Amino acid sequence: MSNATSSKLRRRNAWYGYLFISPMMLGFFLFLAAPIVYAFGLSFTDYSLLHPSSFVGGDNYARLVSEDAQFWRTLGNTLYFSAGLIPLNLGLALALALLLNQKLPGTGFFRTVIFTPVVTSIVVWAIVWKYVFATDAGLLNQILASLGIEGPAWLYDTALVMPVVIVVSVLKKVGMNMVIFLAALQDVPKMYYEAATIDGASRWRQFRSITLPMITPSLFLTLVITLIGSLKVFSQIAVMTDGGPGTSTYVLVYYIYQLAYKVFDFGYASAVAFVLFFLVLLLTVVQWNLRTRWVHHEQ
Amino acid sequence: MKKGLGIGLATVLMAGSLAGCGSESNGKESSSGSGAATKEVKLKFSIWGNDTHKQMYETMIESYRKDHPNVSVEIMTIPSADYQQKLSVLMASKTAPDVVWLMERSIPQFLEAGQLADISSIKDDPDYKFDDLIPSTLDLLTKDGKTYGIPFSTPPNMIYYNKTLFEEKGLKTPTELYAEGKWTYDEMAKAAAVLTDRSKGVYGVNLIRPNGWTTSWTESLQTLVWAFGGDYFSADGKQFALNTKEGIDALQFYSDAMFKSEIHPKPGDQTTFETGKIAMQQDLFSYMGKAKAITDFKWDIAPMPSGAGGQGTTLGYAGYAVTKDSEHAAEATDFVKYLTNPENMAVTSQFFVPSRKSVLESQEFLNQGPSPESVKTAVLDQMASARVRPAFQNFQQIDEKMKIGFDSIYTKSKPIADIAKDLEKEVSPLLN
Repeated sequence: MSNATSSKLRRRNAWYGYLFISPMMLGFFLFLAAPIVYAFGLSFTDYSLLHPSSFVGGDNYARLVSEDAQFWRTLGNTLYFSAGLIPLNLGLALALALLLNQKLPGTGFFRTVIFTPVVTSIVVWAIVWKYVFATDAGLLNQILASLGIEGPAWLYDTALVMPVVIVVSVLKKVGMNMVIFLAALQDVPKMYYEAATIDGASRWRQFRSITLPMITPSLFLTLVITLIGSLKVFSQIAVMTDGGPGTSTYVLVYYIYQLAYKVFDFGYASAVAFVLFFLVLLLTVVQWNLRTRWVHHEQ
Repeated sequence: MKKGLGIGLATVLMAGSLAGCGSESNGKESSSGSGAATKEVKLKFSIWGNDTHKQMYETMIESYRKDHPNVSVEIMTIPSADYQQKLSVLMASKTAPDVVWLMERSIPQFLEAGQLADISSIKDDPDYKFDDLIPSTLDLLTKDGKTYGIPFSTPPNMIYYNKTLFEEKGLKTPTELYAEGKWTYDEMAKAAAVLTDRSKGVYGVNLIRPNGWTTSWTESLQTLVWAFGGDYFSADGKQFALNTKEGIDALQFYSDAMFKSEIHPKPGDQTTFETGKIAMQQDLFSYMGKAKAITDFKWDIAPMPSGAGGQGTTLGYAGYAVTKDSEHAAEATDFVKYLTNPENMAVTSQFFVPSRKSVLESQEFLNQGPSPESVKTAVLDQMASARVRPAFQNFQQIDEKMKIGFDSIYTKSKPIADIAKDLEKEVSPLLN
């Protein structure tokens, strides 16, 4: 008897549960899952705004692998962006967190200053930096000129443009990771440091053997988030460089946007989008499986 | 039992949200014109103009509502760089504005796709004076004898120059040189070299229109290429034509101005004419509004200089059209008619070179510039020889390739001759 009631109760509770999450799930299925499935279907067609579409099988994927040199350049640019952004972002965030974790005057002010860009609109941020890096009248080149140095055309130099975009992106997002690290640092029990000090461990040794292992869960989290974010970079590219000069800042999302909304090749754009999807998935799975190796107190 | 309740609730929720999606109906069927039982009609009108344009339209809409109290018009501003993309998507999803501005390069795409409404009925009203519209300006928006839009802006490009700087150096102004028949690219480069003062950040000449680096090939440099006797495409639009001596000379002149003689701002530079640091600036008539706000120095306008191939003046082009899927096509057409009637075209002529002969030749229009003489020389006298830039159904694809090619000029990554050769390879397949 008690068995029957409890299963009934469980079932009722389950329905309440479903009911409570239904607004969220409904939104998720209507506006996220359904379009994703639809886009996956589109990637096997030549759907375009300009002509009626037809099923083309794996042609889009074949074209992507064998014919489209631009796709590979774009993929290379994206990985370049990620490879530049992630170490710089995490390193700077950690350094800032360590610095601002001290009990020094003005830390509250600096934390706010560094976090402010995170809540600023990315478009506004990118426009401001576009002016800062403008060739002649740009703030940076004006400063350089006052020192007697002729600044380069930052956004019109194929070698400089990607580093510029990386730096601008790091400054925008570093505050978020810094806050996560700050929280993690403050959770490290003081007794470990006390014990280490008694044992005569140096500051560096303490950092390596106590601080770093204790904040690895946060490091892992920020790494995954920053990596995924960096693969999806778009706004700052669209605003600051428009993919240029040439195609030197074409990144995957920008390329997808170009293909879909400029050339109206939605079918092919969907195929590229799915390559990005699987790339993110793959990298996340790899990281997830590696985490037990280096994330402290994780099973 | 409970299960049934759950499903029922879920269904209600779902139905509710779906109904929410579909219930945005604005105004029902329209009874056109001045019928008695008029329903509320909301028109959407998209432009890529700036705030001063928007204000002008808002004033016009207000007075339109005096005769058509049931019609309200909402202005939608879309940046010109995104305009065609955004409109294409809106058209595909059947949510396009009722009345739209269209630029020449986007017209074939929409017209060929059958997305514009036939508004030939506009001709029927004798008071509208359809014949007053300059016939050549209607070509782009006419297909099989039917009218699909009315042009409202056909501005030739021109040179805005800083008269104060010219006076300081004791140079002849472009207007004077033009009067003597000596206004050429060589003379322009010579004057620019004298006017350039790098220590003050002053440049002699800027061919790139404001914010125009990424659209430079079409917006800013077509004139230069034409003036040097070259062209991007053959007359029938089927061949790539820039890979010629003339075309390469034009690009070389441009590249040298930036990197050799350094009389032209460098790629990515955003210095504007208003700052007084540009002696000669290429722009359209629509820049007049901003130029009039200048108080720090004297300025004037002059026609484009000439090269081996003439002046190569381009004619900008913008028209109003009604979208095919508009639920209020009749009201939208009437609104276009209102915007382009003789009185209102006189109003819009403060920014836009009018396509009505009577307005173009009116004293009122001549007074829209710095002086009636300058407007006559730089605008009216150029209309006959100025050409509209070519338009293509797949303009967006061509634009992308051209932009990438022109960026090689800016990054100096290849000699000009190679750029022209590579562009030919990339663009030719798109022209078929």
